[in-house]
Amino acid sequence: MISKDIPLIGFTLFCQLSVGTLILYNLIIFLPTFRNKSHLPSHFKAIPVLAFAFAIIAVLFSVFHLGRPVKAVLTLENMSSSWLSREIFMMMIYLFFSGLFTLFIFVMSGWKRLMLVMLNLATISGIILIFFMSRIYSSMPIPAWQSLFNFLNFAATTLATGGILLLLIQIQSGSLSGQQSLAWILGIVLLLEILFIPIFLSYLDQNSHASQLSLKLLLEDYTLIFYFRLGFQLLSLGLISIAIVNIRSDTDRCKRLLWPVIGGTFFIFLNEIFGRILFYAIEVPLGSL
Amino acid sequence: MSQYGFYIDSSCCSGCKTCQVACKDKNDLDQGMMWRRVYEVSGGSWEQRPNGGWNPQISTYNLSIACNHCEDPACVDACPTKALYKDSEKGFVLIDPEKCVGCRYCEWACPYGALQYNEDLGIMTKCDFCKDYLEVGNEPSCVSSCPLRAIDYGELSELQEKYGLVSQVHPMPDPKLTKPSLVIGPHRESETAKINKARIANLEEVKND
Repeated sequence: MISKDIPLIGFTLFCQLSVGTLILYNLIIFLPTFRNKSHLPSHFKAIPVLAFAFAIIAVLFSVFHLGRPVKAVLTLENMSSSWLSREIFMMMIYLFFSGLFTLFIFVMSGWKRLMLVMLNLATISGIILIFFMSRIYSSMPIPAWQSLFNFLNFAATTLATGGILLLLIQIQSGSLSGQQSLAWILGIVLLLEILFIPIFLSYLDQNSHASQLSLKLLLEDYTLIFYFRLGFQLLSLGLISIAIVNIRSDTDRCKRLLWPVIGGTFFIFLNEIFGRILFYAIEVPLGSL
Repeated sequence: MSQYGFYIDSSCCSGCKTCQVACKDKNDLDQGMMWRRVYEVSGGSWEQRPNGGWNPQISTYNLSIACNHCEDPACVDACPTKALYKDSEKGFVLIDPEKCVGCRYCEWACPYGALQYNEDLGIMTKCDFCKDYLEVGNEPSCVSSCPLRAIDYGELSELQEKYGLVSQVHPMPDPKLTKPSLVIGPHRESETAKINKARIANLEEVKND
């Protein structure tokens, strides 16, 4: 990996963490309380603040990626053909709605319908943002980034990072709402990430010369990172499986899951960081010129 | 709008890299930056004859590649600030340094490695076809410096008429991607190079990082 990729790794991961947190917060926490007309527990109000803070950190990382950050505003000029312009535009929309929702949850908490609209708009713009982010890479003449795996990879990271953060907050606060669903979502996402590995390797092997070079980089030059990542994936899947099996409607029992979930969080984040390092490392353009 | 392009005669290029050096000199390029690069393509091995002797079955040739000022430039589409644009007069792909923010997105988009990052200025740089030379009636520095006269330039349609329509040899990318304004005089071994799985032998030397 080269140092120029660090801001990109930071930007993409924090963006996905923010969007993933907000999507699952909407589906698993906010929507049920809205439907049941129940009161939103105070510790759940901190989650949108976290999601918004992650988005701001992502923006800061993206600025470090530019050679001339002072002219960053110019990046919105080519919406007609540049996926990067579109991504930056969508990032602003996402920041606007998630920021507005975060503000509403503290100052206008009685206006639940309006808050739901804001949260839905933030969620939709977040999903579009992740899609645009994946399109930036899949539109490049780089075979390792061109397959459907690219979008699946971005979607999986979004759900895995957001999901584990929410699960950790819920277990830590002793709240039982949606824990089982979150643990299942995480388990399925992690299992799919692992199952995709051999299919992706075979795709690289059977594609162009450039994709074979990507495979060579992955298995020879970055072999240690590749196998460490696989180890982190298996460990996090194991720890999340413990959570799936043991989450019951018993608060004390759930609290005993705190350490496995902390471990799962640690390994999921390591897995995603290593995954992104590998993602940029196997960039080999078509023709290799 | 006319479209200018380069002609590269790979069949007679000796790989001396004078074009590369002349370009660096003219544009005062820093270490590691090469707007024109000479790729050494080589592959194949030795085959044993029935009498026990050995015959070389190899493919080896050089490709001098700069920006191909493509008809459909992927870098222009990718650039979020419109710093990269296609010149309306001669079809050059140029960069407005005032608009470039140095996001390096064009670096990924170009399949020819034409865009190069200037660490000191924080912006992308590339071959501008020595348009300042052309304006005063001189040839681009790579063309005039080639001791074997393996590089030519001019109106693309005229180059195609004169030298043919080949714009890709192994292991260059598919020209359908960006429609490069390039004509190549293929080396006789370029056909067998694909079979021999010829590779770029001097990758460390030519890669941008």
